[in-house]
Amino acid sequence: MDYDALFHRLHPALYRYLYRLTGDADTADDIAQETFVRLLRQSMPESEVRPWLFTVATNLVRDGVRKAGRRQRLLAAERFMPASVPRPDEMADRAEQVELVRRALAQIPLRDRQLLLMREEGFTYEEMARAAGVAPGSVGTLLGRALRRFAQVYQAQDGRAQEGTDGTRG
Amino acid sequence: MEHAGDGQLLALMDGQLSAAEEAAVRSHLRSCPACAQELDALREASALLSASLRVLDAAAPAPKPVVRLVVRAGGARVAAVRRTLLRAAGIVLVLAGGGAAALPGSPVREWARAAWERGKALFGGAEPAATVQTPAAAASIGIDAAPVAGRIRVSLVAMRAGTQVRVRLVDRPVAWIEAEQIVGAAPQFVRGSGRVEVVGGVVRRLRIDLPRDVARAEVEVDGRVRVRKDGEVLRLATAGREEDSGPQAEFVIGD
Repeated sequence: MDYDALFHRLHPALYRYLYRLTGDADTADDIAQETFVRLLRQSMPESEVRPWLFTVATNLVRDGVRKAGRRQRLLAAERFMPASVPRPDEMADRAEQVELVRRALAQIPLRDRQLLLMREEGFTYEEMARAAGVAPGSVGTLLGRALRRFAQVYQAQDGRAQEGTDGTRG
Repeated sequence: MEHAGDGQLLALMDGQLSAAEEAAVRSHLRSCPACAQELDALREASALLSASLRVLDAAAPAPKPVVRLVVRAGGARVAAVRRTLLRAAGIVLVLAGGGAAALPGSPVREWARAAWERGKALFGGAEPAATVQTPAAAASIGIDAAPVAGRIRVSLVAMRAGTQVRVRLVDRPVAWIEAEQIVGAAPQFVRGSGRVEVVGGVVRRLRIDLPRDVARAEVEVDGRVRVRKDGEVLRLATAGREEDSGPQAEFVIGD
Protein backbone atom coordinates (compact mmCIF):
# COMPACT_ATOMS: atom_id res chain seq x y z
CA MET A 1 0.00 0.00 0.00
CA ASP A 2 1.17 3.52 -0.72
CA TYR A 3 0.48 4.92 2.74
CA ASP A 4 1.50 8.41 1.84
CA ALA A 5 -0.94 8.58 -1.06
CA LEU A 6 -3.68 6.97 1.00
CA PHE A 7 -3.23 9.49 3.76
CA HIS A 8 -3.35 12.44 1.40
CA ARG A 9 -6.39 11.06 -0.33
CA LEU A 10 -8.43 9.82 2.61
CA HIS A 11 -7.53 11.93 5.64
CA PRO A 12 -9.61 15.00 4.65
CA ALA A 13 -12.77 12.92 4.20
CA LEU A 14 -12.17 10.99 7.40
CA TYR A 15 -11.62 14.18 9.38
CA ARG A 16 -14.78 15.68 7.88
CA TYR A 17 -16.77 12.58 8.77
CA LEU A 18 -15.46 12.53 12.31
CA TYR A 19 -16.10 16.24 12.81
CA ARG A 20 -19.67 15.77 11.65
CA LEU A 21 -20.04 12.67 13.82
CA THR A 22 -18.66 14.16 17.03
CA GLY A 23 -19.05 17.91 16.61
CA ASP A 24 -15.60 18.35 18.11
CA ALA A 25 -12.54 19.29 16.03
CA ASP A 26 -10.00 18.06 18.56
CA THR A 27 -11.68 14.70 18.84
CA ALA A 28 -11.93 14.45 15.07
CA ASP A 29 -8.22 15.22 14.77
CA ASP A 30 -7.16 12.74 17.40
CA ILE A 31 -9.29 9.91 16.17
CA ALA A 32 -8.41 10.47 12.52
CA GLN A 33 -4.74 10.32 13.35
CA GLU A 34 -5.12 7.33 15.65
CA THR A 35 -7.01 5.51 12.90
CA PHE A 36 -4.23 6.07 10.42
CA VAL A 37 -1.72 4.92 13.00
CA ARG A 38 -3.63 1.66 13.29
CA LEU A 39 -3.72 1.31 9.52
CA LEU A 40 0.04 1.08 9.57
CA ARG A 41 -0.24 -2.31 11.25
CA GLN A 42 -2.62 -3.62 8.61
CA SER A 43 -2.23 -5.18 5.22
CA MET A 44 -5.21 -5.21 2.89
CA PRO A 45 -6.19 -4.43 -0.68
CA GLU A 46 -6.41 -0.69 -1.24
CA SER A 47 -10.08 -1.01 -2.12
CA GLU A 48 -10.78 -2.07 1.47
CA VAL A 49 -8.88 0.74 3.15
CA ARG A 50 -11.53 3.43 3.01
CA PRO A 51 -14.35 1.38 4.62
CA TRP A 52 -11.86 -0.01 7.12
CA LEU A 53 -10.78 3.48 8.14
CA PHE A 54 -14.33 4.68 8.68
CA THR A 55 -15.26 1.56 10.60
CA VAL A 56 -12.30 1.78 12.95
CA ALA A 57 -12.72 5.51 13.40
CA THR A 58 -16.38 5.09 14.34
CA ASN A 59 -15.49 2.33 16.79
CA LEU A 60 -13.01 4.68 18.40
CA VAL A 61 -15.73 7.30 18.71
CA ARG A 62 -18.02 4.72 20.24
CA ASP A 63 -15.29 3.69 22.69
CA GLY A 64 -14.82 7.30 23.59
CA VAL A 65 -18.50 7.77 24.24
CA ARG A 66 -18.41 4.87 26.66
CA LYS A 67 -15.54 6.32 28.63
CA ALA A 68 -16.68 8.81 31.24
CA GLY A 69 -13.68 10.98 30.71
CA ARG A 70 -14.46 11.60 27.05
CA ARG A 71 -18.24 11.85 27.37
CA GLN A 72 -18.32 15.61 27.78
CA ARG A 73 -16.22 16.10 24.66
CA LEU A 74 -18.41 14.11 22.32
CA LEU A 75 -21.75 14.90 20.81
CA ALA A 76 -24.32 14.09 23.47
CA ALA A 77 -27.98 14.97 23.38
CA GLU A 78 -28.14 16.40 26.87
CA ARG A 79 -25.21 18.71 26.22
CA PHE A 80 -26.97 20.52 23.45
CA MET A 81 -30.42 20.89 24.90
CA PRO A 82 -30.80 24.62 25.43
CA ALA A 83 -31.75 25.88 28.85
CA SER A 84 -33.97 28.47 27.21
CA VAL A 85 -35.09 29.58 23.78
CA PRO A 86 -32.28 31.39 21.97
CA ARG A 87 -32.42 35.18 22.02
CA PRO A 88 -34.09 36.61 18.92
CA ASP A 89 -31.01 38.58 17.96
CA GLU A 90 -28.99 35.37 17.82
CA MET A 91 -31.05 33.70 15.16
CA ALA A 92 -29.41 35.52 12.27
CA ASP A 93 -26.05 34.40 13.55
CA ARG A 94 -24.42 31.67 11.53
CA ALA A 95 -23.05 30.21 14.73
CA GLU A 96 -26.59 29.63 15.83
CA GLN A 97 -27.30 27.77 12.61
CA VAL A 98 -24.34 25.55 13.30
CA GLU A 99 -25.60 24.89 16.79
CA LEU A 100 -29.02 24.04 15.42
CA VAL A 101 -27.48 21.42 13.15
CA ARG A 102 -25.41 20.02 15.99
CA ARG A 103 -28.42 19.75 18.26
CA ALA A 104 -30.40 17.96 15.60
CA LEU A 105 -27.59 15.51 14.94
CA ALA A 106 -27.20 14.93 18.64
CA GLN A 107 -30.74 13.62 18.76
CA ILE A 108 -29.80 10.81 16.38
CA PRO A 109 -28.31 7.68 18.02
CA LEU A 110 -24.66 7.16 17.19
CA ARG A 111 -25.20 4.13 14.97
CA ASP A 112 -27.85 5.87 12.90
CA ARG A 113 -25.70 8.99 12.73
CA GLN A 114 -22.85 6.82 11.47
CA LEU A 115 -25.07 5.43 8.71
CA LEU A 116 -26.30 8.88 7.69
CA LEU A 117 -22.80 10.30 7.50
CA MET A 118 -21.31 7.31 5.71
CA ARG A 119 -24.12 7.61 3.18
CA GLU A 120 -23.07 11.24 2.67
CA GLU A 121 -19.57 9.98 1.96
CA GLY A 122 -20.85 7.68 -0.78
CA PHE A 123 -20.47 4.26 0.86
CA THR A 124 -22.52 1.33 -0.41
CA TYR A 125 -25.12 -0.30 1.79
CA GLU A 126 -22.89 -3.38 2.06
CA GLU A 127 -20.02 -1.28 3.36
CA MET A 128 -22.27 0.58 5.76
CA ALA A 129 -23.75 -2.67 7.04
CA ARG A 130 -20.30 -4.10 7.78
CA ALA A 131 -19.17 -0.89 9.43
CA ALA A 132 -22.23 -0.58 11.63
CA GLY A 133 -22.66 -4.27 12.35
CA VAL A 134 -26.15 -4.53 10.92
CA ALA A 135 -27.76 -6.70 8.28
CA PRO A 136 -27.36 -5.25 4.76
CA GLY A 137 -31.08 -5.50 4.19
CA SER A 138 -31.78 -3.24 7.15
CA VAL A 139 -29.57 -0.32 6.09
CA GLY A 140 -32.21 1.37 3.97
CA THR A 141 -34.81 1.14 6.72
CA LEU A 142 -32.41 2.48 9.33
CA LEU A 143 -31.40 5.33 7.04
CA GLY A 144 -34.98 6.25 6.31
CA ARG A 145 -35.85 6.32 9.97
CA ALA A 146 -32.77 8.39 10.78
CA LEU A 147 -33.45 10.89 8.01
CA ARG A 148 -37.02 11.40 9.14
CA ARG A 149 -35.85 11.78 12.73
CA PHE A 150 -33.25 14.37 11.74
CA ALA A 151 -35.74 16.37 9.71
CA GLN A 152 -38.31 16.23 12.49
CA VAL A 153 -35.88 17.33 15.18
CA TYR A 154 -34.30 20.03 13.05
CA GLN A 155 -37.62 21.52 12.09
CA ALA A 156 -38.86 21.37 15.67
CA GLN A 157 -35.81 23.21 16.95
CA ASP A 158 -35.93 25.68 14.11
CA GLY A 159 -39.58 26.27 14.93
CA ARG A 160 -38.76 26.92 18.57
CA ALA A 161 -36.14 29.38 17.50
CA GLN A 162 -38.56 31.13 15.17
CA GLU A 163 -41.05 31.33 18.00
CA GLY A 164 -38.46 33.07 20.07
CA THR A 165 -37.77 35.47 17.24
CA ASP A 166 -41.21 36.86 16.63
CA GLY A 167 -43.32 35.58 19.46
CA THR A 168 -45.47 33.43 17.21
CA ARG A 169 -45.14 29.86 16.10
CA GLY A 170 -43.12 29.74 12.88
CA MET B 1 -46.81 -5.04 -4.44
CA GLU B 2 -47.55 -3.73 -0.97
CA HIS B 3 -46.61 -0.21 -0.06
CA ALA B 4 -42.89 0.45 -0.40
CA GLY B 5 -41.10 0.77 2.92
CA ASP B 6 -38.45 3.33 3.77
CA GLY B 7 -35.83 0.71 3.09
CA GLN B 8 -36.90 0.26 -0.50
CA LEU B 9 -37.40 3.95 -1.09
CA LEU B 10 -33.95 4.85 0.30
CA ALA B 11 -32.35 2.05 -1.67
CA LEU B 12 -34.06 3.39 -4.80
CA MET B 13 -32.77 6.90 -4.07
CA ASP B 14 -29.25 5.60 -3.51
CA GLY B 15 -29.10 3.22 -6.46
CA GLN B 16 -28.78 0.19 -4.22
CA LEU B 17 -31.53 -1.92 -5.78
CA SER B 18 -31.07 -4.57 -8.42
CA ALA B 19 -32.53 -3.82 -11.83
CA ALA B 20 -35.53 -6.05 -11.14
CA GLU B 21 -36.16 -4.56 -7.71
CA GLU B 22 -35.87 -1.04 -9.06
CA ALA B 23 -38.33 -1.77 -11.83
CA ALA B 24 -40.82 -3.17 -9.32
CA VAL B 25 -40.57 -0.19 -7.00
CA ARG B 26 -40.86 2.36 -9.80
CA SER B 27 -43.86 0.55 -11.18
CA HIS B 28 -45.49 0.70 -7.78
CA LEU B 29 -44.71 4.37 -7.34
CA ARG B 30 -46.45 5.19 -10.60
CA SER B 31 -49.69 3.89 -9.20
CA CYS B 32 -49.35 4.77 -5.52
CA PRO B 33 -49.49 8.48 -4.65
CA ALA B 34 -48.95 7.71 -0.97
CA CYS B 35 -45.60 6.01 -1.61
CA ALA B 36 -44.62 8.70 -4.09
CA GLN B 37 -45.30 11.25 -1.36
CA GLU B 38 -43.16 9.29 1.09
CA LEU B 39 -40.34 9.26 -1.44
CA ASP B 40 -40.61 13.03 -1.80
CA ALA B 41 -40.48 13.40 1.98
CA LEU B 42 -37.34 11.29 2.17
CA ARG B 43 -35.73 13.30 -0.63
CA GLU B 44 -36.48 16.51 1.21
CA ALA B 45 -35.08 15.12 4.45
CA SER B 46 -31.96 13.98 2.62
CA ALA B 47 -31.51 17.40 1.04
CA LEU B 48 -32.01 19.05 4.42
CA LEU B 49 -29.33 16.85 5.97
CA SER B 50 -26.86 17.53 3.15
CA ALA B 51 -27.42 21.28 3.40
CA SER B 52 -27.11 21.16 7.19
CA LEU B 53 -23.85 19.29 6.98
CA ARG B 54 -22.48 21.93 4.66
CA VAL B 55 -23.31 24.55 7.29
CA LEU B 56 -21.46 22.47 9.85
CA ASP B 57 -18.50 21.96 7.53
CA ALA B 58 -18.18 25.68 6.94
CA ALA B 59 -17.60 26.15 10.66
CA ALA B 60 -15.14 23.28 10.97
CA PRO B 61 -11.57 24.22 11.82
CA ALA B 62 -8.94 22.81 9.50
CA PRO B 63 -7.21 19.68 10.77
CA LYS B 64 -4.24 20.41 12.99
CA PRO B 65 -0.84 20.66 11.33
CA VAL B 66 0.51 17.21 10.71
CA VAL B 67 4.08 17.48 11.86
CA ARG B 68 5.80 14.52 10.45
CA LEU B 69 9.00 13.04 11.52
CA VAL B 70 10.83 11.06 8.93
CA VAL B 71 13.00 8.32 10.23
CA ARG B 72 15.23 7.12 7.49
CA ALA B 73 15.99 3.56 8.31
CA GLY B 74 17.89 1.06 6.24
CA GLY B 75 15.76 -1.38 4.25
CA ALA B 76 16.72 -4.47 6.23
CA ARG B 77 15.77 -2.84 9.53
CA VAL B 78 12.49 -1.42 8.32
CA ALA B 79 10.04 -3.85 9.86
CA ALA B 80 11.98 -3.95 13.10
CA VAL B 81 11.70 -0.19 13.38
CA ARG B 82 7.99 -0.38 12.81
CA ARG B 83 7.36 -2.96 15.47
CA THR B 84 9.41 -1.21 18.09
CA LEU B 85 7.99 2.19 17.27
CA LEU B 86 4.66 0.92 18.49
CA ARG B 87 5.91 1.40 21.99
CA ALA B 88 6.66 4.86 23.32
CA ALA B 89 9.93 3.75 24.84
CA GLY B 90 10.98 2.39 21.48
CA ILE B 91 10.09 5.64 19.83
CA VAL B 92 12.30 7.58 22.19
CA LEU B 93 15.11 5.12 21.56
CA VAL B 94 14.86 5.28 17.80
CA LEU B 95 14.48 9.01 17.70
CA ALA B 96 17.33 9.68 20.07
CA GLY B 97 19.23 12.54 18.61
CA GLY B 98 19.40 16.27 18.52
CA GLY B 99 16.12 16.98 16.83
CA ALA B 100 13.85 14.63 18.74
CA ALA B 101 13.59 16.53 22.02
CA ALA B 102 12.67 19.72 20.20
CA LEU B 103 9.77 18.22 18.29
CA PRO B 104 6.23 18.94 19.47
CA GLY B 105 3.59 16.30 20.11
CA SER B 106 3.47 12.97 21.86
CA PRO B 107 5.95 10.21 21.01
CA VAL B 108 3.16 8.19 19.44
CA ARG B 109 2.23 11.07 17.21
CA GLU B 110 5.82 11.59 16.13
CA TRP B 111 6.08 7.96 15.24
CA ALA B 112 2.88 8.13 13.27
CA ARG B 113 4.20 11.05 11.29
CA ALA B 114 7.44 9.23 10.63
CA ALA B 115 5.64 6.20 9.34
CA TRP B 116 3.27 8.20 7.21
CA GLU B 117 5.84 10.35 5.58
CA ARG B 118 8.05 7.57 4.33
CA GLY B 119 5.83 4.52 4.41
CA LYS B 120 7.71 2.70 1.72
CA ALA B 121 11.01 3.14 3.48
CA LEU B 122 9.57 1.81 6.72
CA PHE B 123 7.41 -0.99 5.47
CA GLY B 124 9.11 -2.43 2.45
CA GLY B 125 11.65 -4.50 4.29
CA ALA B 126 12.02 -8.11 5.35
CA GLU B 127 10.65 -9.85 8.42
CA PRO B 128 11.19 -8.14 11.74
CA ALA B 129 14.64 -8.47 13.20
CA ALA B 130 15.20 -9.31 16.84
CA THR B 131 16.45 -5.88 17.85
CA VAL B 132 15.92 -2.28 16.88
CA GLN B 133 18.74 -0.33 15.36
CA THR B 134 19.01 3.40 15.46
CA PRO B 135 18.70 5.00 12.01
CA ALA B 136 21.93 6.43 10.70
CA ALA B 137 20.59 9.56 8.98
CA ALA B 138 19.36 12.70 10.71
CA ALA B 139 15.65 13.21 11.13
CA SER B 140 13.44 15.43 9.00
CA ILE B 141 10.13 17.02 9.71
CA GLY B 142 7.38 18.12 7.40
CA ILE B 143 3.89 19.50 7.18
CA ASP B 144 1.12 19.40 4.64
CA ALA B 145 -1.22 22.22 3.72
CA ALA B 146 -4.33 22.33 1.60
CA PRO B 147 -4.91 25.19 -0.82
CA VAL B 148 -7.72 27.57 -0.01
CA ALA B 149 -9.68 29.26 -2.78
CA GLY B 150 -7.23 27.82 -5.30
CA ARG B 151 -4.16 29.31 -3.68
CA ILE B 152 -1.26 28.11 -1.56
CA ARG B 153 1.58 30.22 -0.18
CA VAL B 154 4.72 29.00 1.54
CA SER B 155 6.65 31.64 3.48
CA LEU B 156 10.19 31.01 4.65
CA VAL B 157 11.08 33.30 7.51
CA ALA B 158 14.46 33.82 9.16
CA MET B 159 15.90 30.63 7.73
CA ARG B 160 19.62 30.16 7.68
CA ALA B 161 21.50 31.43 4.67
CA GLY B 162 22.82 28.57 2.62
CA THR B 163 19.72 26.40 3.01
CA GLN B 164 18.99 24.68 -0.28
CA VAL B 165 15.36 24.93 -1.36
CA ARG B 166 13.81 22.70 -3.97
CA VAL B 167 10.30 23.41 -5.22
CA ARG B 168 8.39 20.95 -7.37
CA LEU B 169 4.97 20.61 -8.92
CA VAL B 170 3.40 17.30 -7.93
CA ASP B 171 0.22 15.42 -8.72
CA ARG B 172 -1.30 15.72 -5.27
CA PRO B 173 -4.10 17.88 -3.95
CA VAL B 174 -2.14 19.24 -0.97
CA ALA B 175 1.22 20.92 -0.60
CA TRP B 176 4.01 19.25 1.32
CA ILE B 177 6.87 21.12 2.98
CA GLU B 178 9.71 19.13 4.47
CA ALA B 179 12.82 20.26 6.27
CA GLU B 180 15.40 17.64 5.43
CA GLN B 181 18.61 17.02 7.32
CA ILE B 182 18.01 19.09 10.40
CA VAL B 183 21.44 19.90 11.76
CA GLY B 184 20.48 22.12 14.66
CA ALA B 185 17.23 23.53 15.98
CA ALA B 186 14.20 22.34 14.07
CA PRO B 187 12.23 24.99 12.20
CA GLN B 188 8.78 25.94 13.42
CA PHE B 189 5.82 25.35 11.14
CA VAL B 190 2.85 27.68 11.30
CA ARG B 191 -0.12 26.77 9.18
CA GLY B 192 -2.80 29.25 8.23
CA SER B 193 -5.58 29.31 5.69
CA GLY B 194 -3.95 28.27 2.44
CA ARG B 195 -0.48 29.08 3.68
CA VAL B 196 2.40 27.70 5.68
CA GLU B 197 5.20 29.58 7.39
CA VAL B 198 8.51 27.88 8.02
CA VAL B 199 10.37 29.84 10.64
CA GLY B 200 13.98 29.58 11.65
CA GLY B 201 15.74 26.30 12.26
CA VAL B 202 19.02 25.03 10.96
CA VAL B 203 18.48 22.66 8.07
CA ARG B 204 20.50 21.73 5.06
CA ARG B 205 17.64 21.35 2.64
CA LEU B 206 13.99 22.32 2.34
CA ARG B 207 11.68 20.49 0.00
CA ILE B 208 8.44 22.09 -1.14
CA ASP B 209 5.93 20.12 -3.22
CA LEU B 210 3.13 22.23 -4.68
CA PRO B 211 -0.07 20.82 -6.20
CA ARG B 212 0.13 20.91 -9.96
CA ASP B 213 -3.58 21.73 -10.24
CA VAL B 214 -3.66 24.71 -7.88
CA ALA B 215 -4.42 28.02 -9.57
CA ARG B 216 -1.86 30.07 -7.61
CA ALA B 217 1.17 29.09 -5.61
CA GLU B 218 4.09 31.11 -4.32
CA VAL B 219 7.18 30.51 -2.26
CA GLU B 220 8.53 33.61 -0.59
CA VAL B 221 11.62 34.20 1.49
CA ASP B 222 11.42 36.90 4.15
CA GLY B 223 8.57 38.56 2.28
CA ARG B 224 10.05 38.35 -1.21
CA VAL B 225 8.56 35.96 -3.75
CA ARG B 226 11.24 33.63 -5.07
CA VAL B 227 9.15 31.04 -6.86
CA ARG B 228 5.68 31.29 -8.25
CA LYS B 229 3.54 28.92 -10.26
CA ASP B 230 2.69 30.14 -13.72
CA GLY B 231 0.41 27.64 -15.45
CA GLU B 232 2.26 24.36 -15.70
CA VAL B 233 5.69 25.73 -14.79
CA LEU B 234 7.47 27.43 -11.97
CA ARG B 235 9.10 30.80 -12.37
CA LEU B 236 12.18 31.48 -10.30
CA ALA B 237 13.13 35.02 -9.30
CA THR B 238 16.88 35.56 -9.35
CA ALA B 239 18.78 38.82 -9.21
CA GLY B 240 15.68 40.89 -9.88
CA ARG B 241 14.39 38.93 -12.87
CA GLU B 242 12.21 35.87 -13.36
CA GLU B 243 13.16 32.76 -15.26
CA ASP B 244 11.11 29.86 -16.44
CA SER B 245 12.26 26.90 -14.39
CA GLY B 246 9.95 24.15 -15.60
CA PRO B 247 8.22 21.86 -13.10
CA GLN B 248 11.06 22.22 -10.60
CA ALA B 249 12.96 25.17 -9.23
CA GLU B 250 15.92 25.31 -6.89
CA PHE B 251 17.60 28.12 -5.08
CA VAL B 252 19.74 28.78 -2.04
CA ILE B 253 18.57 31.08 0.72
CA GLY B 254 20.73 34.10 0.85
CA ASP B 255 21.74 33.97 -2.83
